[in-house]
Amino acid sequence: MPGSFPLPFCHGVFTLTSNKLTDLQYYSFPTPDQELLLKAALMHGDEAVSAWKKWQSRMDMERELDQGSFRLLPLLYTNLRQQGVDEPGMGKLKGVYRQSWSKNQTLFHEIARVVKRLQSAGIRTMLLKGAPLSLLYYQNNGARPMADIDVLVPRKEATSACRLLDEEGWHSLLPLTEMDLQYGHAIQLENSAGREFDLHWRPFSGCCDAHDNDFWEGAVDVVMGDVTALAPDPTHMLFHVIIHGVPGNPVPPIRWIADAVSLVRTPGVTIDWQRLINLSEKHLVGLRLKVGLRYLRDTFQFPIPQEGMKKVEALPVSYLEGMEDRFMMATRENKNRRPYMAFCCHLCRYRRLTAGGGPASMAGFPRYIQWRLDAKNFHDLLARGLRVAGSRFFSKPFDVRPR
Amino acid sequence: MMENGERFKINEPNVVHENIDGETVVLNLDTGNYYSLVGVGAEIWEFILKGMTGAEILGMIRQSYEFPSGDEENAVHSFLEELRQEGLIAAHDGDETAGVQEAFLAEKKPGGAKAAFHPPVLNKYTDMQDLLVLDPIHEVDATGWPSTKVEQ
Repeated sequence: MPGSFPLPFCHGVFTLTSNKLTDLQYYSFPTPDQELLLKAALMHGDEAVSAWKKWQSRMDMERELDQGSFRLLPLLYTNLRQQGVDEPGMGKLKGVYRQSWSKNQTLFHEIARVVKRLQSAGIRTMLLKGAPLSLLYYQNNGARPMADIDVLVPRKEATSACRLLDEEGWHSLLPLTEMDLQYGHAIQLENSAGREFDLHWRPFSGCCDAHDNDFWEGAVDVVMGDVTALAPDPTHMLFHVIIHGVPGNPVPPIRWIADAVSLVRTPGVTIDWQRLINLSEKHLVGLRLKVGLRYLRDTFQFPIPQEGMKKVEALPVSYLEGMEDRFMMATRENKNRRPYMAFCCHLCRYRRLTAGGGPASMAGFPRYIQWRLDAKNFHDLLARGLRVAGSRFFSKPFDVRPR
Repeated sequence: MMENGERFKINEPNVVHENIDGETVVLNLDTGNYYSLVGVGAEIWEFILKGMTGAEILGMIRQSYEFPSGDEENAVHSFLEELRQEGLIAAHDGDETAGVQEAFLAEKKPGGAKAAFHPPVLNKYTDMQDLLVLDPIHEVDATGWPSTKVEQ
């Protein structure tokens, strides 16, 4: 077993070989059927058509379609049309595309209104995830369905932005606290129509403030109707797609693959691979980048240069990062999440948040845990800790808060 | 009533549209209404996008279709008026569109036979909030969303 000193507080001492990574299976990649659907939606010519026919022979769209596959249907429609596929079943696929286009347009309209309001108050705004992916990389307003709106503002402006949005009818169930700003990355807001809005002050969970500026510095313009906002540059966008998509979520992890492939295929887009690798080192997410890029290269001929892939393979993976992903996998599969695993997960996220802060930054970990566990004070935190320690198999109090 | 020499523009950015395989779908974001245009209606939308006047649009339609009943002028003008009343288009002082018509005709039907004229229809769906939450696989007919399945 490579990596001989599994010290939970150190980064880079637990190195996993490529085979071990595959064996670990901490990530949920597409099932064979989902992979066929991805190929039908992303590949060209005979490869796409044959994947589509094979998928149809194995799956019944009317009966057994998971949410992840469903979200891929608009892209499937556009790709099959480009390949000249014309058959009776296309009517429904076209309808799925029309609905996705209409939903997205409605969301773009909402986003433009919000961005205008924030900009009029002098707050810088950056669009994250679905909107910039659709507008800049898919270059199609219906192919990538969006469920919500994600807007990033500078951390020091988050409170004012939240207040402004509240005036505009976007409310949060929980108040935004100082600790949320210090340790969290976003707050979920909702309007009376039930639309969701994620106001981010960090681009992703655990993004260290010292590196947060990277996202803003290289940002590019994205135009939505009569509004221009910012979006991450292609390299940061790919980084975000992979590190956000690879760990998965309750919806089967399938769309990030389409996002990544569509992004790199966009004419005129150049990925700075070295910067991508540097980002993953800075943000301590080497494992996610490694497994993500390896999958994309092996299955979708992702155009990462050989030299770049070698460097990715050589990225050190910390013991804590491995534990974090085991914890997340256990959470997704509703398996028992051991307290130690949960502890390592939180420690890993705290270290990510304070990356480069040195050993002194560990002094803030108890306060971070207090926020994570929603403990009222240190006594409450201590009581929870003792309860956990007393019951090895009872990990509920370590649940990650939904925000 | 609109005049023949009037030029039009799409009411962007609050009206968005896309051509999906010959069908033009239009969404009025102010009202939340959804529209679908096919055939002559989708063609007229393209002419509006190119900045043609009412008279030029009529001329284009006359060159492309056969009119056994001879009511094409009324049909085209009523359709443009309907688009305007729905807030989808507006009068516009745009540039001349010299050459656009010739280019379109040359591209569209080089020496082909004229098709029969079917008056343009603006299919309108007003219950957008309900339509957006409709299951587009199980609750629609074979033509797909937004056409809901008729219960037997």
